[in-house]
Amino acid sequence: MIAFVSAQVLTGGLGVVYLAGGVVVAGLLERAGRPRGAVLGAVVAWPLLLPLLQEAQVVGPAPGPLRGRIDQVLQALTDTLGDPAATEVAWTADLHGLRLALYTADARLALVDRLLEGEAQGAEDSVDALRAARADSQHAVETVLSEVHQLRLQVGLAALAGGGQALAERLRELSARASTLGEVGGL
Amino acid sequence: MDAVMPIIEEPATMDAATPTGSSLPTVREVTHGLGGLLALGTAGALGAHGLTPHAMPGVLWTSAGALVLTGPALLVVHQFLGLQAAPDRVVGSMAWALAKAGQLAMGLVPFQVFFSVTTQRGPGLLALLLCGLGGTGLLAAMRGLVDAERDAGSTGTQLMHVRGLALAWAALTLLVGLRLGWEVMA
Amino acid sequence: MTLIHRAAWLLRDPSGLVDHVDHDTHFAEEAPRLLGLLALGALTFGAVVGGFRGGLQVPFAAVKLPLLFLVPMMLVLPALRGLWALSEVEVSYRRLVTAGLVGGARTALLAAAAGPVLWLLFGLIGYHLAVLCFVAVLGVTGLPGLLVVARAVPSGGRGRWVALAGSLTLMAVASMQTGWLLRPFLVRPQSDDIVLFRAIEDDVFHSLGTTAMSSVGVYRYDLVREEVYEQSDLRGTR
Repeated sequence: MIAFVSAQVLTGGLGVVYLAGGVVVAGLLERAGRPRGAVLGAVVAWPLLLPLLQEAQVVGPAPGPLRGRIDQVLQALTDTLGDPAATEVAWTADLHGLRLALYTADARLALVDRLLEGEAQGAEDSVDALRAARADSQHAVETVLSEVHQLRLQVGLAALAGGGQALAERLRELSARASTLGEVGGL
Repeated sequence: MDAVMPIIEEPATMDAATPTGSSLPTVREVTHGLGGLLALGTAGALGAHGLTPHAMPGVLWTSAGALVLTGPALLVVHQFLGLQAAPDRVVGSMAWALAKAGQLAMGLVPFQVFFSVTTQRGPGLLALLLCGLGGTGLLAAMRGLVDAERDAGSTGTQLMHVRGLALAWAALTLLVGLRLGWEVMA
Repeated sequence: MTLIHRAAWLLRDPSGLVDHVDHDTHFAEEAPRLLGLLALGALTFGAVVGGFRGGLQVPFAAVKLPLLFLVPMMLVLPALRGLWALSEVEVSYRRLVTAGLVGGARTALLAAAAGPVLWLLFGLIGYHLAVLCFVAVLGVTGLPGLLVVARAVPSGGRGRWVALAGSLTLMAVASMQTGWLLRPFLVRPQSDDIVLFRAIEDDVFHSLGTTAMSSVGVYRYDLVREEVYEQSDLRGTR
C-alpha cells in the first residue's frame, strides 16, 4: 500500500476531476460548432454527450469529383437505418468511419485530377499510368457506393425477416474496405 | 402491456453472423480488451483504503492468465476427441470472449472508480465484478465453441461432446482464475 | 413550446422519441432538451421532498434529485454496451445514452406529477412512512423509465437474461450508493441539522446491514440519536 487517503478527500478530488473533464469536453464541443445547449450540458453531464465528440462534424478532406454521390448514398442509408421499422438492424457499425474513408479516397481523386490538369505535355507514360490508376480507384469507390446502396435495400429485408447481425457485419467490412481504397488504387 | 424482453432464450440463427463464431478478432480488438482489463484492475487498486499497485494488473493477470493456462488444454482435448471445428475457430471463440469481456471491463471502470473512491469496498466489488466478467466471458466462449462445432456440420453425439468439453473447460478456467486471483489478493 | 412538445412526445411515445433522437443530426439538439426536461422534473420532485421539513431543505433536495437520476446513468451506461455485446447484441453507446435520457426524463416528469399527492401525504404521515412513500414513488415512476431503455436494445442475440439481470443489478447498486452519498433528501421537521451533504461514513451496504440488524433488535450505540427521534415519534411530539 502506498498511501492512505480519506474518502472525503478522494470523493472531493473525483468531483474536481469530473468538473474539469466537463470543462474540457464543453470546450471541444464548442470548437466543433455544436449547439450551445450541448456545450452547457457537457459541463454537468459530459459522459452522456461523448457521442457528440465521436461524431464531430465530418468536414473531412476537400471535396472531390464523387463527394455529391457519396453524400447522397450515405444519407439514404442513414435515413433508412434511422427508420423506426428498421430496429432489427444494429447499426452501430462505423458509418462515420465509412464516410471519412470515402471522403479521403475522393480527395485523392481530386488531387490526381489537379495533377493531370497541369500535365499537358511530357511524361506521357507516367500520365497514362496515373490516369489508369485514377480510373481504377474511381471504379473501386463506385463499387463500394453501389454495395452500400444494396445494403440499404437489404435493411428492408432484415426489417421483415431478421438477420440484422449479418448486415452490421457487412457494414463493418465495407468500412474496412473503404479505408484501404487508397492502397487498392495504388495512389 | 407487451412483454419487455423475451426471457426464453432465442435459438441462434444461421444467418445471424455473430462475430464470436465467424472469425478471429483483430489485434486492435484484443488489445482494447486487454487494456480494459488492465484499466479495471487499476480502478480497483485505487480507493479510500489506499493505493495498492500490485493489484493493478490483477484483473488482467487473473482473466487472461487463466485463458492462457487452460486454452492449450482445450485445443488438445478438442482435437483428441475428433471434433469437427477447425482449431482457429476454437481459438477464435476464446479470443472473442477475451475481447468482449475486456470491452465490458472497460465499461465497468467508471462504476468501479465510483465505489473505490466513495467506499472501502473497492477490492470486494472488484472481486465480484471479476467473477461476473469471468462468468459472462466463459458463457460467450462456450457458445462460440458449440457454434463452431455446429457450423462444421457435427453429428448430434459430437455436439454433446463439445457441450461437455466446453462446460468442463469453463469450470477449469474458473478454478484456475480463482487460484490466480487468490494469489493476487494475498 | 419545443420543450412542452418534447415532454408530450416522451410521455406518449418514448420509443419513437428514442428512434428520432438516435440519429446523426438530431442527437446534438435533442440531448440537451432531454437533459433539461430531466432536470426540471427532478428539481420539482426534489422541492416537494424537501418540503417535508421545509426551509433550506427545499432547495437542497431540489438540487440533489437531478444528480440522483443522472449519476447512476453515467456510471452504468458504459458497461451496458459491453454487457449486451457479450449477449451478441450490438447497441451503440449513443443509443443507450438516448434511451437513458428519454427514460430518465420520463421518470422525472412522472415523479414531478406525483408531487402533489406526495405533498398531501406528507401532511398526514410520519417520517419513516414519508421515506417509504418517497422510495415507492421513485420505484413506481422508475419502472417506465427502465422499460424505455430495455425496449431500445435491439432484439436478437442469446442469453439476453444475463445482460438484463446484469444491467438491473448494476443500476440498482449504483442508484443505492448514489442516494447514500447525496443524502439527506428527507429530513425530520424537528431537526436543526440541515446540511447539503452528510459526511461520507461507511456506505449504503453497511447502512442496510445495520438497519436489518436493528429490525431484529440488535442495536449499535451510534444509533442512540436515531432512537431519541424514534421515541419522540412514538410520544407524538413530532
